[in-house]
Amino acid sequence: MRGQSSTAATDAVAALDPISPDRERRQRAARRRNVLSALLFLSPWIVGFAVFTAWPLIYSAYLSLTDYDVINDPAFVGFENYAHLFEDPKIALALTNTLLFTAVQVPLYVVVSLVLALLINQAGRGSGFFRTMFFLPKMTPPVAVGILFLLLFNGQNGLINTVLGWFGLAGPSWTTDPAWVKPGLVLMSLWTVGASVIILLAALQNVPMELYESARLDGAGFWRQSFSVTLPMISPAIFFVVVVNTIAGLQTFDEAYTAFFGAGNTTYSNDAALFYVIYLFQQAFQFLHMGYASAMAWVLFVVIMAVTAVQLIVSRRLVYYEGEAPR
Amino acid sequence: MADLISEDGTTAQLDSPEVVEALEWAVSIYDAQGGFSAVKSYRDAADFFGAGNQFATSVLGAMPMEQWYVNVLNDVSPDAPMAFDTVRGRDGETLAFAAGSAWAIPSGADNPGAACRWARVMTSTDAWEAAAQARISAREEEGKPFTGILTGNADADELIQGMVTSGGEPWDTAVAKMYEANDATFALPANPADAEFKSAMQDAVNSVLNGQATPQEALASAQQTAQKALDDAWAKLDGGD
Repeated sequence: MRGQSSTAATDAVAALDPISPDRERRQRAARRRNVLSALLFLSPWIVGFAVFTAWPLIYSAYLSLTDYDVINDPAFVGFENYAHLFEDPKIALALTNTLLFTAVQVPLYVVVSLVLALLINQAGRGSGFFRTMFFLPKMTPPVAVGILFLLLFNGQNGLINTVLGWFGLAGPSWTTDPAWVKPGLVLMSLWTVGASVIILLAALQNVPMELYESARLDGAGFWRQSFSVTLPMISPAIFFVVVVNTIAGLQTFDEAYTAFFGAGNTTYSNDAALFYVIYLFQQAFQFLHMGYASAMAWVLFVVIMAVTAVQLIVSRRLVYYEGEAPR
Repeated sequence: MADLISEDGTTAQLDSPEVVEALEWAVSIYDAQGGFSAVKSYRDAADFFGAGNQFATSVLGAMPMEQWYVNVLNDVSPDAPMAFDTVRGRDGETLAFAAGSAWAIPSGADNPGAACRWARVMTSTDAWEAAAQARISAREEEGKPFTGILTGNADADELIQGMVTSGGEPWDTAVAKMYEANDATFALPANPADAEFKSAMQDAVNSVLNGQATPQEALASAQQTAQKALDDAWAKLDGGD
């Protein structure tokens, strides 16, 4: 009944105050101006997205179906490039290297980030200083990190082996022994944990103290509080760090390329560091197989999408989202 | 002596016994100094382009290297105890591998005649002589010797060798050895899979240096990769793709 009364009242008001055609035109013109203004403000991003993201994506999809060497026009070859991926032994090697690296690097990266974030969270007034210190290495250019890797992990007089030597341990040849190249790169990747530390620290500082007080009243100790309060409350942040670093791991390039394939190693390389994007880069810019490299890029895109989708599905069971973030 | 690739550029010969032997010899240089891992570690840690380079600091005994490095060493460590020689074959004759860049004119170029004339002028003896003269002036200003340029043009090389200025020993010997090597060079014949061929060859060498394969195994695998790359590239070229 209340609904019917309301409708009748609205109709009556509309009948008393009809919108004149002129007013309607003015409103439409105003709406158009608003839309145009919005588009104008958005146009730098729209142009940037179209030119630097959308068009390259579309063109790369087209190139993946061609034989293109940069000099001659692309020649359509259908799905030949994709078929060739299955015959190329280096694809399997590069994919295995990349997946292994990511599978080891991401969990370690998250654990180290979390431990550092927990420590900084306990640091009180000094936390700002440590936050800055841990973030600073993130500002290091990746090429410099690659060079740093060669120096720190140098088998003869690198810092890592020197420290191992203090404990009577003979360090391995991190930069040449294929069995130690990937572990070395994983350890080196921890150099840039700063960004993840900041994200996890922010999440830790958002956990309401009331939850800890309630847990303590219930008799929960440190570990119980950590597993039943802290981890669930920061699980969205952990999930974000996992997803972002997994994608970065699958696309890893700069440090490994500099250390094992870059200008300092024009003829030396190490198969153990041949990651997928490095091989893609070689195919595109060393051999000028742009079509093949584009096909590789799309396969990587699919792999990343698949891995991310699995992570999203798993996250439904493991990640706890609060409806309203407590202040 | 064997060629890495047949003269017509169609057949890889990376698994020939002579190539295997050459690789074994190259690896033995590193083995004699503690193995490749140790040598590379010292080389990575050394200030390769600076005064603390691996020879000035006496951490390396010998290293096969391209001729441009003579200039670096002369610049940064002129007093380091150095000796230079060419690589020699079993018969004692000098042996050297030559490589370099080249200009190519795409088949669909708008003005191939002009591009060709430009390339000819840029590689002419006169152009190289002018370049050498400019280099001499620049080096004189720095008080350093002119150690020559390798041009890919035999006439220009001969002319420029006569323009070299003395830097005393051992640098004069180094330059003389560079020109001696230049007279005994071999090069890979032009082929449409040059980058892939070199990559296969280098991968083989690296897998031996990294201890992943014997020279024979590595070069047998490289032979297959290189031959496939050559076959594919020649088929594409002959097919007019």
